[in-house]
Amino acid sequence: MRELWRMYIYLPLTLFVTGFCLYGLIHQKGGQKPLQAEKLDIKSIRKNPTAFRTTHLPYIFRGGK
Amino acid sequence: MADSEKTFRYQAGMAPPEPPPVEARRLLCPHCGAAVDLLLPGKSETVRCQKCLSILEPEHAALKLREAYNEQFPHRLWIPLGREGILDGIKYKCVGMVVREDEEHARWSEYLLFNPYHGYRYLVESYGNWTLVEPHPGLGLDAKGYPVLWGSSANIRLAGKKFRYYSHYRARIVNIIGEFPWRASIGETNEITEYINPPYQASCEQVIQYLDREGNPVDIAALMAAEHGNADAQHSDDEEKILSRIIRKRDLRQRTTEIHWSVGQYKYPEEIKAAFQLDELPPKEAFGMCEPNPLRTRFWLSLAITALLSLVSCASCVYAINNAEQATVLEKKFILNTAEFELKREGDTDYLEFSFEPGEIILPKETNVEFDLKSLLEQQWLSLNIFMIHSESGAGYIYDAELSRYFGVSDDGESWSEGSETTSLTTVKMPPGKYNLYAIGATNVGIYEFKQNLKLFGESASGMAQQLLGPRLRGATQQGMRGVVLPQNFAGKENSPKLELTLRVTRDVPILDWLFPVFLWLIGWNIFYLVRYRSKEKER
Repeated sequence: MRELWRMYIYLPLTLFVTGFCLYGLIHQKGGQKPLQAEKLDIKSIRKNPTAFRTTHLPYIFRGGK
Repeated sequence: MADSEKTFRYQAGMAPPEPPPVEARRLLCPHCGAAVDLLLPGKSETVRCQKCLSILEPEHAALKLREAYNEQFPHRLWIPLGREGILDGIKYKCVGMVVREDEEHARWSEYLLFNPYHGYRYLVESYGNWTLVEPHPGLGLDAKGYPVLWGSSANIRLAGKKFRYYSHYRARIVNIIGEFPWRASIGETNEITEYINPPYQASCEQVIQYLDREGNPVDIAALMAAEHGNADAQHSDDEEKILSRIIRKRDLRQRTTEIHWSVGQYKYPEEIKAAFQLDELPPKEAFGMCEPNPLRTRFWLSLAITALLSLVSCASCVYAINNAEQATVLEKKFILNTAEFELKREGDTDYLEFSFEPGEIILPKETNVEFDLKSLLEQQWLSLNIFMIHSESGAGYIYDAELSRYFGVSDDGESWSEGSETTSLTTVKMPPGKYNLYAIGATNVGIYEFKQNLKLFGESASGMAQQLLGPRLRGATQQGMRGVVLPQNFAGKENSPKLELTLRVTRDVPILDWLFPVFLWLIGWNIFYLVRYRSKEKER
């Protein structure tokens, strides 16, 4: 027990790292974050995909500016 | 254990019965006439006068001079002669001290303790570390009394304990004080082999006699001194070489005349201080030979905790896998005709751009989505932007994925490859609802054929083929305008290269990547404690 207390830095750190990672595992944290765009309409895109690619896409990739 | 507890134990339960009185006898030194107290009359064979340091021998009721000296004892006695103390529940009296040194002139002190019921013990002090050593005369001898366990290369099992080899050296008696039950003399040299199993140690002390061709014993110390031309030089660093040279030159044989085994146990300085009621002890300058390594416990604790956390991690992993739906919501193979793509240029790179609609998926709850992509590529690349467009809110979530596969043979004839035909991406948790998937891609698959077709069937084909993809294309793409497309129904369109792409979409998948840092940390943690433990062991 005395030796456990002497591991006062690394033991809590280990428990924290393990706990943090297992929380992420159980709660499905992580994954790739998306680039977001608003007010997209699939029907409009279908109608003129070329226009969407050449006009809207650069606008989205610029962050809507 | 606290000191108070130790004292209580000694005083309460385990204190030995009072030993029979051994009356000290006061005699006179035949050399200087000073009074010499014989602590163990009838037992001691060697006594040293504390005033002139002459070595004496008790004979009947008097002392006989063996070696005359006239000097001061130069070493400090941390435990005074005649002082009594209780160690391991046994009351000992300090009756003598031997100062020894090895070939490298490292010195240590051996206090001779005596108890009338338990006999003699040595309390060895070396650089502030203490070991209580009990002689085991029978150990290391077989039934016929021949030595069976000695040497410097093996680990041994002794007195029910396993010991590992620690060191082998030659020890010389530098000085003595007090009284001894044998004919002690200064300069006596023994071969010592030590084994350890902290907090225990085992020592094998051999007295080696050197014999000439006729079998007569020779004085090896005198020979070595003569060889070196200096009596003190026999303990120089070259002693081993000198000894080997003498043995070889004079064809000497070695004979072990005595073997003494002993087993010791490490004692913390506080215990010695309390036992003998000492005010002061030598400072601890090194990690003791058989001192328990405090980092050993920590290393084993870290291993145990790692095992426990690994179990918890595995259980969490099983829980995460079982709780994830892992339902495939879309799996399609797309065969896209590159003739329908659009030629574009970025910098000096030409590529084909295309888009297609994989389908729609439904997420009944907030969950992540995994996209698995596969395409047959040969020296080709493919980049995709996958749009997840929420059918109600119109929010678009765009993910990108890339595939490429290149291979070849290097200049030195070794084949190489890089990239992969498959890739996978997992999204963050997405809001529930129905999503329309839309993909926009760029690739170099079929770009050569596209350009050839453009020459033949493109807008500039009539008499302008030589100006293929000239300023017109560059100007158009740089301004963010349309790239170059082939006519919808040119001849041979169906023979253009196809881009094959398989897409599988799975919802609610476990993200097991979290286990990697856990195990990496745990392994690192254990290595850290192992390295500290081993480093401490090297200090012995």
